[in-house]
Amino acid sequence: MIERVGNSYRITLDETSRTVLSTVLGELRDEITAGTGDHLTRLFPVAYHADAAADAEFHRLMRSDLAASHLAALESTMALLQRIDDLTAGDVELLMRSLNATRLVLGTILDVTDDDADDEEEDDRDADGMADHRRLYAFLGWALGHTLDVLGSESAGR
Amino acid sequence: MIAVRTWTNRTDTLPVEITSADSDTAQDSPWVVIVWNDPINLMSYVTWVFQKLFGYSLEKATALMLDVHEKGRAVVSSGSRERAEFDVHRLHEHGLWATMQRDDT
Repeated sequence: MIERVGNSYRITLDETSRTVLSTVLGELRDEITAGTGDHLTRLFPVAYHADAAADAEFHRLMRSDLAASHLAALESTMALLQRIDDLTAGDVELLMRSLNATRLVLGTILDVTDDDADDEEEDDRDADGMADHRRLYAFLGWALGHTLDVLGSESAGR
Repeated sequence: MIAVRTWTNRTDTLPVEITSADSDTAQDSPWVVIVWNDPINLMSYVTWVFQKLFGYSLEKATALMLDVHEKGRAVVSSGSRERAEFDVHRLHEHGLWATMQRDDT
């Protein structure tokens, strides 16, 4: 997914994977911009667990800022997938945020539960027509985990 | 009523523009920020977010992540209402399910 090159990072995905990922990120960007879809709820979670009025007020004031933050990360990541080289640590953080945001939305669509985490790899059925979603969800998990591993191994080596 | 309106040109610092503070802000009892378990976020990602946003050591961040995973929730920060709102917003930016409430302990 990424590798360290000197003082920067480089994306190691092949062109096909980068194109697929960029397309998916673009679709998520468009959905956030449109502001529709129940599957976006994990990107705009409840802030006040037991106070509906305060929560509504929080989201009235903060939702647009949060949406702008999500969109900025997605746009930046799409540009990074074109650039590939000379990524900063900040770029990698935006990349991880975008991978995770996309995974959250896919996981919501797939209705992922704790039980699914145990048999994710062996789940290749397509009775519900969602096999592509599941493969993409697994790919995003791998990409995010690999990126975290690269950052973690650097921290451990310091 | 919530305390923080919005802030612009925000970095990872406290909000600087507070346009509306309700009466309970002044008499603030501490507020706590809670992160809840969810089946989607990777454990390693949650740990990384705790380290990045709060400057926690790997050991502390991992312990909090395990609390979230095993107990269903963990208090990750506390302080004024403004601080809690800021932290909740940053956690939401990173895709974590975070809420805030008065510290009732």
